[in-house]
Order: sequence, then structure tokens, then C-alpha cells
Amino acid sequence: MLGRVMEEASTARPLVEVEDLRVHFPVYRGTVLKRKAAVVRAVDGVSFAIARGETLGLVGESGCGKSTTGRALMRLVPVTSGNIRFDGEDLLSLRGEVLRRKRRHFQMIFQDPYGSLDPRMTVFDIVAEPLLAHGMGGPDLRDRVQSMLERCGMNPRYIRRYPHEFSGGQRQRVAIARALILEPSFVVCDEPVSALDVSIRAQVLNLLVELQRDLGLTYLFIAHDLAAVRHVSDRIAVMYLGRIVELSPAAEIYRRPAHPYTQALISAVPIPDPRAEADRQRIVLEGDVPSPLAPPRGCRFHPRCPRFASLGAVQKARCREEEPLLRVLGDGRQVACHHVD
Amino acid sequence: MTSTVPVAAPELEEIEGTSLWRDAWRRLKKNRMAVAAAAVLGGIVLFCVAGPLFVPYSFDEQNLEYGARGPSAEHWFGTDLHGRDLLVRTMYGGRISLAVGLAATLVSLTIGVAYGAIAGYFGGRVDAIMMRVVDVLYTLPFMFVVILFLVLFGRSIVLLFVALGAVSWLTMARIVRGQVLSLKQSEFVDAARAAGVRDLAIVFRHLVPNALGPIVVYATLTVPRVMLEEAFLSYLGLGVQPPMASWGLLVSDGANNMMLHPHLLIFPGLLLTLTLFSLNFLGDGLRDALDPRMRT
Repeated sequence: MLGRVMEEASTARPLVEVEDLRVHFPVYRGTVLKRKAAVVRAVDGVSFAIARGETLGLVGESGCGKSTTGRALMRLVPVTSGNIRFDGEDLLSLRGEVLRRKRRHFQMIFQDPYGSLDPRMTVFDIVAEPLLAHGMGGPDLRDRVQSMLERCGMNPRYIRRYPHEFSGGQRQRVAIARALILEPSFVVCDEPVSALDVSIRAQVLNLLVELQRDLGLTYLFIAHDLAAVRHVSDRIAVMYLGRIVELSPAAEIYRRPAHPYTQALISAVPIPDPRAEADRQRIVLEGDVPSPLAPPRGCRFHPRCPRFASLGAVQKARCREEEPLLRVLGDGRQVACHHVD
Repeated sequence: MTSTVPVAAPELEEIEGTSLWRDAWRRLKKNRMAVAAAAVLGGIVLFCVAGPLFVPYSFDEQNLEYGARGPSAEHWFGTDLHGRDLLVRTMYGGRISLAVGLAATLVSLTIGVAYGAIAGYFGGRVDAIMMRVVDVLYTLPFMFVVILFLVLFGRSIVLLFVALGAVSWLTMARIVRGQVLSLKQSEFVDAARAAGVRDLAIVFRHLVPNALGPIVVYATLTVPRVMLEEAFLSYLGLGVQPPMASWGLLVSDGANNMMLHPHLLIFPGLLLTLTLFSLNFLGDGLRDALDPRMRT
């Protein structure tokens, strides 16, 4: 799968291109006279591209800005600066009705299937709503809704039921049907399985992979642990505090993680072999993630970086002063660290 | 899974679920208190609307020799100080009181809900301006507004409806706005936006239905409050005037004479209380019935 994708990526233009994306949320203080007290830099200079048919995994701790990145791509949060091109078109310049019309080409599957389905709507209303919103109803509406539900592994006889009558996995299938009924080309999956029972995660993941293959979808797959995205992603981007620190092919990131933060993440994944597991070297990070209100100067990771301590004074100064940019290592690996070769 | 997925065959009948309203109706019927309350309310409405046809007196027919008698075979509810039949006056009074309550509630349901929901959903400056308008209207003394209307348009019952309607939607707007402010954070609202649903459709198809519980409860509380306000206005001579009657007017009359003629307070008071109780029980029942998660 990877080979085909890489081949296409080199010839055709990527479906989604993100350039120096920044999403900052102002924090206001005062009740009567509001003044901007601070800025949360949720996403602070993120760039990547996703080829047609590819799955880009996006991982990071909570609060690192991965969900905000996904929402920005959906135009659900105001973007501070940067560029998003979808199918070559500048997405951020679209407004109002033009944007609304465009929305059917990119859809989102939300994390929490308990919150993302309107409790007062039946399954039919939920899945049919996007079609109706785009004037794509028609006499065969019911058939189309039912066949999409069936395709997502739901019994199509349940269309008159309410979300609360289903399990988490079934609800997520409804949410997937809703996202795909408009036949989008790009889907942001925002931790689509992390709210589900472990026993049904694999089912839903397999469903997503299957649908991608059948419908030619392009995914941005957001997750907070590497294990979840490993099997579905072609490439994986690791985010830390609003920036991408490493962006590499999925297999490479496991075999030889380049960034110290990625190394720490990988070392935290248990190995399903008792002997190997016993020998596993864990890199435990010190301290908490710094506040995105005031990210550290220079490299954002340096206060917690396990490699930082072993560096010389000059190198340390560089980490403190100069923000590392993503640079290409070869084998398609990109890393944002001054001290990786 | 491939394209050979069969489209649902016609004999696979959908598992019966129903529309929100039919479903709510089914659940309401299971709630005995609510059903009883609805029956009582229906009875009271029938009593007030059709009752006068079966009573051989009119609401303003005086018989001064027959003043303030207790209940008897001729006058079931007795007579008032002017010898008017209290039964028929209670029926007429009920018409006015119920109409006032209904009108004010309709106003608060239409204007209040739409106004509050739009302010809450769009937020920011729109919200600030819309809610400051509500605040300003709140601060205007109610009496002042009514007297102003009276001076401008002359005294009439229509004016009473307008005045009560004009203030009844303010609290509803605030309640709905508050609900919408928290509901619009829900992921299903983001999902609708991402799907390209229009803003007004989000407000009226997602937000308002989800705020229905508090809306229904507050609406049923509006009816009694408005009835009492009408009584207050009438007492001041700004609302319904004798020989016309309203429950509020009859109750306040009765309260003045309760030591000597308790029946003047008891009968209209009983009907007013019964109505208010029924509305509260019905409101509770509706709130539960309209919530699909309450399904048992």
C-alpha cells in the first residue's frame, strides 16, 4: 500500500497541503472591559501534505494541538495564520455559502460517539442530514441512507432508532456513515476509537481501512498513542506543544525514531513478548508539558529532553535559543532537532 | 465488503421507532399524573368555554336583593355582592384568564425561544447587543409600560394581551440563551457545521429541540405567573373591569370579603389553583416525555 502511495505522491499534487498553520486562542481577562491577557498557541507553525489515498497519522499528548489541527482543516476553528490548500484550492479564503458548499468534500469523524450524535434525532435523520443540507435528498434518500449504514456495519432496519439505544461501537458506525454519505475525498478521524471498548476498537479500525480502500479516501488519523495509528497510517507525524517534531513513514518511525520525543513515545509502547518486554529500555520524561500559553524559547522540548543533559554548553545554548525546523533526513524521514544526523 | 452489498429488501420492515412527537405522546400516556392533569385542564377549558350555555344567567345580570348568598340549587357557586351568579362569572373569568395565559405563553415560546437561541448561537457581539436589549426591557417598570400603552392606544383588553406578551418572553429568552450557550459546545453541533448544515437549521433543528425540557417547564410556569399579573393589573383598574371578570379579579374580590362570604374566594380560587397545579404536572410530564433518553 505504501509503495503505491509514495509513487502517486511523487507525481500528483497532494490532496491536502498545510503550510505554517497557526491557531492561537486569545484568553480574555476582565468582565466589563475585556482585554487580551494571553494567547494559547494551540497550533504554532505546522506544515504537512497528504497525498491522495494516503493516511497520515497525527499523534501527541493531550493538549499538543492535534485535534485543533484537525478542526482547523475542517474550518471549525478560526485560523490565525498559515495556508491550507485542499485539492489545490485555498481553503482559508472561502467564506459563507461557498465554504458551506465545499464542506461536502471533507468530513470529520469525532472522538466521542456519545457527544457527536444529536440525542433527539433518529439514526435516519442523523445520516440523512448532510445530504439534505446540500440539496442532495431525492426519492431514494432512504435507500441511500440504509445502504450506507449497511456498508458501515449497521443493521439498516434500525434507522428509526435513537442514538442512546446503541452501544458506543454502533454509534461510531453511525457517525462514520454520516461522515461518508456525502462521498468526501478527505476525512479527518479525530481519535475515532479512543472512546470505545478495547474489544471493538479493532473492528472499527478495520472498517475505516476497508472503507478507505473501497471509496478511495484520504485520512488524517489523529490519535494520542502510537499503537493505535501504527497499522492504519502510511506516514506518522508526531506533535509536541503545537509543532510537528517528526514526520516519517510509519515503519521507519518504529524501527528508528529520530527525535528524542518520538524515542520516548516508542519506548513507552509495551512489546507483546515477555522476554523482549523485560529488556525494554524505557525513557521516562521528566516534568509536565509546558503551558502553551508560554512555550519555552528555542526548542520547545529542551526542558524535558533526555538528550539535552548530555550535550555540551554550545549545543545546549543552541537548543535554548534556536527553534529547530523540520529537515529531511533521507528515507522520507523529517525531524525537527538540532542534534540528529 | 464490496459493491454487492444488498440494498435493504422491502420485507425487512424497519424496527418500529417513531417520530419525536408520536414517541413523546406514547410516553406521556404512561405518566398517570400528567394524563390526569391534562384531563383536568381539558375539563376546565370545556367548563369555561361551553359552560355559560347551560347556565340561565348572564355574567352581568344583577339581583341586588339576592346579594352574596352561599351556594344553592339555583346558584351552584352562590352569588356575589351585587347578586350576580358566581358560577357563570367564574366561567367567563376563566375564559379571560386562560386566554391571557395562552397568549403570553405563545409569545414567549415564539419570540423568546427564537431570540434567545439566535443570541446564544451566534454569540459575541450579536449576543451582547441582543441581550442588552432584553436587559433594557427588563429594567423598564412593567406598570410604566402598561400605562404608556394605555395613554397611547386607549384602554382595551387587547392592550392587556400586548402588555403581558411584551414582558413574558424576556425570561424565556435568557433561559434559552443559557441552554444554547452550553449546547453549542456539543460535538453534534460541530458535526452539523462540518456537514454543511446552515446556521439557522442548526439552531432550530439541533439546539432548540435539545433545550426543550427547560423550555416546556418554563412555559408552564409562565401561564400561572401571567394569570396573577393580569389579576394585579385588573386590581389597579388597568386590565379587566367589572362587570367583566377574570379569575384574578374574582379571587382578589373574594379575598376582600373572605371573612363574611368565603364562597367568593373558595370557588374561583379552587379553579385557579387546580389549573396551576395541572399545568405544573403536565409540564413535568411533557419534559420527561420529550426526552428520548427517558424511554423505558
